[in-house]
Amino acid sequence: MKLVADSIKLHYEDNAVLKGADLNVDTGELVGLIGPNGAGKTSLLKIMANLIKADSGTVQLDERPLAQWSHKQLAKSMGYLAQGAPAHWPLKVERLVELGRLPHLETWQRAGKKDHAAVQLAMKQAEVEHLADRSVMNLSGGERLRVLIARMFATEPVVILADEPIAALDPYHQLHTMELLLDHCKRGGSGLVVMHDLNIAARFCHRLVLLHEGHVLCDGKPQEVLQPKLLAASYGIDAKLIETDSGLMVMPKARVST
Amino acid sequence: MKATNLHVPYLPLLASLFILMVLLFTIALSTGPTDINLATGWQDWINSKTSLDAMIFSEIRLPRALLALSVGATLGMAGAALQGLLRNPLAGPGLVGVSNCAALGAVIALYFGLGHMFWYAVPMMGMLGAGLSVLLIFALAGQQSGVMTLILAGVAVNAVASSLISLALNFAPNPYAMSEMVYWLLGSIANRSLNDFAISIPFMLTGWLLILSSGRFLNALSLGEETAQSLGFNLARYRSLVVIGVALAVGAAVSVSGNIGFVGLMVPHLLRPLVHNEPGRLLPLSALGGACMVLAADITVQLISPDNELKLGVITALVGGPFFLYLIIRTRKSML
Repeated sequence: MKLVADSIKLHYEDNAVLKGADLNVDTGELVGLIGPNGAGKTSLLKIMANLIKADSGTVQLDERPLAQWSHKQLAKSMGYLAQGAPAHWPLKVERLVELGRLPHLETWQRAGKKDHAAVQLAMKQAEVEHLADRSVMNLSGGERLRVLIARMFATEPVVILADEPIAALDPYHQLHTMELLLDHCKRGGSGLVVMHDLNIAARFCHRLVLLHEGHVLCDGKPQEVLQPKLLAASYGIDAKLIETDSGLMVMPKARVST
Repeated sequence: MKATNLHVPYLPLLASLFILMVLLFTIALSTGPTDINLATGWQDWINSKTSLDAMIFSEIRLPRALLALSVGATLGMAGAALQGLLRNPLAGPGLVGVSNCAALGAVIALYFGLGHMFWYAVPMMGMLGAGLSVLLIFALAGQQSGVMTLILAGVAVNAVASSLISLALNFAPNPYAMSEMVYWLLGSIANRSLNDFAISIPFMLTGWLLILSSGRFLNALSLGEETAQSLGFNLARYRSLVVIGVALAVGAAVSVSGNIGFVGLMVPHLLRPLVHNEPGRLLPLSALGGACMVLAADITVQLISPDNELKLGVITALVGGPFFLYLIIRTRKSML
């Protein structure tokens, strides 16, 4: 399934957040959405997840505008992972992961075998099986995020939209999460991931989209996007780029004085 | 909020509360100043045979116990629903603004002495007040509004209604009407008839159904509004569903019973740890718990003051006030 956003514009009061951003995610592709704070990454992601409405521009999934999809159908096809992994009540982990099956159930329908299997598989993939009976409030930030990732996988979505899924994780689980997303893409899904860790983005994403002040500054392979000039123009940093055996490395050296 | 590790299976939990409710219901039926034989009363009433037992059973005991059950269930479930909707353990059914408007409607009926002309004047006016308040709240807040706007509109409507109640009390036509209004406001289910139950139960049932059908939405909401939306729930629609459900049920309950405070606050809070804080599962559980609590409170009222001087609403407030204080102190601690 192809997700395409076309000339998206959005403003909050006097503040133009997105000024005509284009972005597409192809089948099997893991796309990293990068850019400095306030560039409009989260807003663009939410518009593409049909959570907020753009002032103008269209988003199409599988060549149909999002408005033509039913809430249920869209919820089955797109998985969304919110920033900061909120959980407002101390729910039991397993029950929280089960919430991911809600798009597949009618109002009074009980969860069946297929649903339980999906929940178990998602918990296994995210390595949170041992937490199943714990309360989500007693978990560390990283554990909680993994539980919420399991919740998202339990939905069995085709397109995953994740807002900073690795921000609170240790390096082991950062790698693990990115591998999970890559596996998802290999199985025919796709993903759009907002992230700040440029090294991990360079290593795992097939393509990077650099957002700056509501515009897409550059869209292409990691090597094409992660260039000193572009990083200086967007992030305002002087960065050294090092080619290593295991991929491109970005080393921020100093802030660019403006 | 302290997380607990109680492992209570859900269905047996529901079943045991249900049994407790039936038990309390039976005790409520057998409690009263006169000793009657319940079985004879029931049989005589069914066979439309006039006997003292049948009269006491059908005109005093049964309506009172049925109202305790349904009003309690409404308050418990509505409290759980609002706490889930606001994701806040300090919310109660009064927040939506319906209860004071229902009370205002009833007070107006008492003010003009309508209650003595038509038996249905007080509950009908109460429900009219409740209905108008919902229209007013949605007109004030708008259809697409967030939860906070809805609640603020509710608080505003509540405040206006409460000031109008004061006005009515201030200009009460005679001391008798005045005491009638004051006693009604204290909250009681004594001296109600089966008609009061019949007139309010359809609204309560509809409200329950609306609330229960949004149980999964409330579950999803514990992951935040955006995630709930991404799970396929139309936020505006489900929000209205909960608010209208609460308004219908609470409006009908208050119309027949007056204000019975704190039940909707206490019951969900006490039961929440037993279902691992799951808002959806808490709804039916709180309904049963609320029914048990009001039945027990009403039995207590009759035992400690058989001449019906002590009102039900007073005893729930006496227990509920300190409980609310305790809750605030505990919540504050866990938030620090």
